Amino acid sequence: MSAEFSSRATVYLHNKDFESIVRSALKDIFGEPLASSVIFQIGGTESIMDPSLFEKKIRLVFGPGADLILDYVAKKLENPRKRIVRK
Amino acid sequence: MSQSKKRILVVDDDEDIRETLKSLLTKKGYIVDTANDGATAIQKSESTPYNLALLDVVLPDMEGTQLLVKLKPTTPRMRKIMVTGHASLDNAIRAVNMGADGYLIKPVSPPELLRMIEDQLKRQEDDGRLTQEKITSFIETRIKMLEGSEGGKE
Repeated sequence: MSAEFSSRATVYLHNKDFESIVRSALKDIFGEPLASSVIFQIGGTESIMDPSLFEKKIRLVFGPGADLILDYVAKKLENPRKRIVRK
Repeated sequence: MSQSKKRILVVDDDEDIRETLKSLLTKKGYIVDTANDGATAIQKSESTPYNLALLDVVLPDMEGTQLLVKLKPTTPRMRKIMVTGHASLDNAIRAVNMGADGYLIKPVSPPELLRMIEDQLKRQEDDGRLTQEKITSFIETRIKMLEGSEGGKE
C-alpha cells in the first residue's frame, strides 16, 4: 500500500496529533517496552513527527513488515476514535 | 558485487598478516579495518558495525577466544572466524564453543579464506531474512488480533 502513506497521513496531520497516534499504534502492535525501543531505533521523537520520515525509517528497520505497520497507523489516523483494545 | 559494502575487521598482531589480508579482501570489494590487539578490536567494533571478524588466536593483550566473548555484545550478528598457527582439535572445539563461526589454520590459503568468508556472509544474510520474516509474521498476527478485537466490539 504505503507508497501513499505520507499523503494519506498528511491529510490528517492538521487535525490529529501524528506523533501521539504513531506512539499509540506502535504500543498497540509491540507493547510498551518494545514500542519505546522501536522509536529509539528509528531515530527518536523526531522520526515520529514527520510522516515521510517515519515511513522511511520504518521501512529501513522492518522491511516487508513496514507496510503492515504503516497501514495500521494510517487506519488509526483516519479513525482515531476507534479504541483498539490490546489482548 | 553484493559483497562490496560488507565490512570486515582483521585482528592480528603480525603487521604483515594484517596488511596481506587487508590487501586481499579489499581487492575482493570488502571494506577492511585492522586491529593489532583485542582492546583495539573491541573499540573499533563498538563504533563500527562489522559483518565479519578474522581473529588471531594469540593476541598481545588477550586470547582470541576471550576476544570472541568480548566482541559479542558489540555486534551480536557479526560472524567470527578464528585463525590459528597452532592446529589442534582442542583449540578448534574451544573456539567454536566460545562462539566462533569458523576456524582456519595458518598459513591460510586465500581461496579457502574467501570461500569461508563468502559462506559466513551468506549465512548472515539468511539469518537476517529469517528474522525479518518472523518479525513480519509477528506484526501480521498482532494487527489481525487487534483489528479482530476492534471488529468484535462494533
